[in-house]
Amino acid sequence: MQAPENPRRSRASSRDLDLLFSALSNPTRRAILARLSKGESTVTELARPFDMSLPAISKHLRILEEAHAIKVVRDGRTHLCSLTPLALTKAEEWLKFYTRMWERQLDSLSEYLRDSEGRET
Amino acid sequence: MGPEADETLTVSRTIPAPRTRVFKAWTTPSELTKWWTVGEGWKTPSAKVDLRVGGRFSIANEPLGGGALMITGEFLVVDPPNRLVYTWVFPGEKAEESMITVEFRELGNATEVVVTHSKASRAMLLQAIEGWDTALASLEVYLGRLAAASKT
Repeated sequence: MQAPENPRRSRASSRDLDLLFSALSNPTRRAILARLSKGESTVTELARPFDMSLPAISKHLRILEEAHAIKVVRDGRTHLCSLTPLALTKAEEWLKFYTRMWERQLDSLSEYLRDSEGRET
Repeated sequence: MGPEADETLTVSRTIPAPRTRVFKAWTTPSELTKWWTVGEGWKTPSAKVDLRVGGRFSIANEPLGGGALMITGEFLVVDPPNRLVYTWVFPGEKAEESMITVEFRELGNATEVVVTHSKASRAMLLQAIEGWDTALASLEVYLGRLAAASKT
C-alpha cells in the first residue's frame, strides 16, 4: 500500500510557481537547462561556454536548484548537475502548474473586463 | 505515445461580459498586455497575435526583476467568437509543445470561458479535431495545407 501523499508537498504553491518562473526568466539559466537536457554536467563544464566565472555560474545554479529545476550532487570537490524531472515534466506537477496558471489568467481577465477600462474598449 | 500524452486539464470561469468582447480581449495584443499574467507580479510588456490558421502568437512575460520569458504558439483553429485551438511552447518545458483549446460559450450577457490544456501531440490533436462534426473552414484549409506539404 502506498503512503498517503503529503498535501503540503503535492500542492504547487504560488511560491513554487513564482520561483520557477523567476528561474526561467533569465537567458543564461535557460541555456543551462538546455545544456543539461542533453545530459548531466559538472559545474566547470557548464561554465565553459558561458564566459562566466564559477561563482557567477554557481549563483545561477543555486537559483535553478531552489526552483527545483535542477539537482546538484556534491561529491567532494565535484558538483554534478542534472535536470530534475522538472516540475513541469511530471504529470501531476504539470497539471497543477497549469491549472493554477489558467485560474489566475481567467480571474485576471474577469477583473479586467469588469472594470471600466475593459468595458470601454 | 505513452499514456502521459493524455494529460489534460480544464479550467473554466463565467465572465460578466458578452462573448465577442471576451474573444476580443483574448486575442488583441493591446488588451493582452493589460490582463495577461502568468503569476503574481508578472506583467506582459508586449504581445503579438497573428489571428489566422497557421498564424503565430508570442507573449512576453516579465517578472518584477525584468528578463522576459516568451510564450509562443501557432493557431490551428480560429473560429471567432466560439473557439480557438493553438499550440503552446513554454521555454521551461524542454521545448515540447502542448495544446490549448479555448471555448467561449454564451450565457446571456455573460460568457463561460473553458480552457483545455493538453499535453497531446499536434498529430493527436489534429486527429481529434478531424473527428468533430462541425466542419470548420479554417481547419480544412489547415489540413489541406498539411496534406499539400506532406506531398512535397
